[in-house]
Amino acid sequence: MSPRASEGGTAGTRLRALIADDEPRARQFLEKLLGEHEELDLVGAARSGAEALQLIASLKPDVAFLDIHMPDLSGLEVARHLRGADAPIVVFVTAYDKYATEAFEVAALDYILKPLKRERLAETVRRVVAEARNGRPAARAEALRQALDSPGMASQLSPLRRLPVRHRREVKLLDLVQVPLIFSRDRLVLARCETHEYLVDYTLQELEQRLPEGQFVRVHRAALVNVDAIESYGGEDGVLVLKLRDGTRVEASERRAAEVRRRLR
Amino acid sequence: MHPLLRGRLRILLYLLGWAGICALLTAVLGGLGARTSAGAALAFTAPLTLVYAFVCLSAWWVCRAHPLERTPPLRLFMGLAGAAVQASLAWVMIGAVWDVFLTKRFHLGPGPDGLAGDLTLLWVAGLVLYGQSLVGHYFVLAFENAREAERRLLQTQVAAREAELRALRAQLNPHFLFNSLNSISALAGSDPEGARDMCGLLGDFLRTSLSLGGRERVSLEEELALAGRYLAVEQVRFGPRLLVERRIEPGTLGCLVPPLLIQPLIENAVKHGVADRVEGGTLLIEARRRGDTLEVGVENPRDSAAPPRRGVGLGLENVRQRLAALDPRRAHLDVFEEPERFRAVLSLPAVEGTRPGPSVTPAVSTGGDHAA
Repeated sequence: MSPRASEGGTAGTRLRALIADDEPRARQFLEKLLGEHEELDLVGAARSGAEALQLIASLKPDVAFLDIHMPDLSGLEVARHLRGADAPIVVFVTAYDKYATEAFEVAALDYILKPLKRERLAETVRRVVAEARNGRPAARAEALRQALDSPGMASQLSPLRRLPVRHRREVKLLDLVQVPLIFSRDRLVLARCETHEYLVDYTLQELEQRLPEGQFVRVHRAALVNVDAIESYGGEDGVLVLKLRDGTRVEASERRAAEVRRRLR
Repeated sequence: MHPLLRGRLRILLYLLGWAGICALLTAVLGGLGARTSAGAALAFTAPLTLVYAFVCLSAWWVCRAHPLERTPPLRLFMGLAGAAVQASLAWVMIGAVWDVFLTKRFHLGPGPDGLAGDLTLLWVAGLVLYGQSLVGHYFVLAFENAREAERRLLQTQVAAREAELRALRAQLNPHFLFNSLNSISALAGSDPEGARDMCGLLGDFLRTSLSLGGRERVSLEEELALAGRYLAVEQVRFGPRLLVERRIEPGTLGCLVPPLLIQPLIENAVKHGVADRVEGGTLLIEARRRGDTLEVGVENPRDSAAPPRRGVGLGLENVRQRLAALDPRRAHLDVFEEPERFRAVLSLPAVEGTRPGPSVTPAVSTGGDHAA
């Protein structure tokens, strides 16, 4: 971490900042520029979306600078999973995302563009400091989440290559091949992985759009089945029944049976 | 299917033409004097002309089986004359039957003496008419060929133009540009020398891709040098996450390839093999000759946990289109997807060019890291 003036502002009032970027050079550059701001105390640097989620859970920073393009989980996806009183203020960092930045403007979200500029970053830091004084992180996180879930924004998100799920108090990324079934029960969405069931932060409808095309099929109102996890399928008394590799039996609803058959052919 | 049978109006016009021929035949037949009335002559000629109008359509297939420019003269003559003789003799036979029928049933025939005259006329007219039909069909065929050639040329041009446009847009890939600028910006403070190098690399890459894009063919050496500059820039961005291994047979470097054909494969490999993977990976670039075929392969690691890609993506699809426009039979792109590796292989006819002038720096060494 780069040297930083230690005087000015007591440690208590300094905001704890975390950055996430998969490019080493870009990370160092942001570290260096943020290091010039006495109001901030850089507590961590993540090299991927998953690491960002981990570090945010363990370090509980006040502000997170998230690069949008990261290999495992995009900055937008990371931001979507931040909630509660610990949720940091989020600033997105991106080289070029025409549509995302348009959406940020609409939702009044903070973002900075690469190549990074000192003045713009200084302005952002000022805004973040003012925002932090306002408090109400839970409400802020909720507003951010709603902005990210707006239809215009959601259509700009790239397909999920891994599935973020809640595990204890953290977010864990599951490989899609490990997830045979995602279903909803009592208004919660759960993903099955081995013998566990994990809480998922997306609705089934969102997942249908967000998972890679053709990978999962909606077999009834409350279940998505991984096409690769199906061992066999067939009609039983006029009902289409899917047998999964882990032994689960799933019945397709009458309305979706034809579509399911078409997809499995 | 015969082009004439594709439209009602065409058939109508065709038959109208034959009505004229029918009138002519009737007049000649009346002139022979074997028949008492024009009606009797018409009763003979009208049905026969109608039949022959359709027999003559067979000339279409005869013409197609004997393309003028590719058939040896003797075979051409035998084929055409044979068809004309067969058609006219068939007509003569039908004419004989019809003549006898008319005579026996309606007493409209010319009688036994007139029969020979009728049939001779039919045979001569049959030969001439079939000959005309052949000539007419060759014209139609030439016209259709010209139109087809024009259509194909247009298609090829459109595909090439699209490829050019896409290549141009790829050069200006905003992600690549802005991230590279950010790297330069990052280097400027801590490593001014590295920042200068990076500016040079980026400038070289842009300049080369602009100049290559305007040319019809470039040597593989030039195309790979461009890829090398691109990779060098990306290596500054990704650091040790991006490694490159090259296995280039020296004999392949002089081969000519369409410009910016390999570049999309490289960019694709960097995106999926490095940018989308936390741990990054090693790209493998290969070029070799197999007989008179040049093979260029680009391979990148992929996540075994990631679901297989569906479809090849827009960039590779465009490469495919350009290869198809180049040589639909011998040029192709094959994609091999294994659990851990993704491999795209270009195959195209190996054409040696004259060596390009002062050779550009071929490959930039791997692992180029400009960090202080």
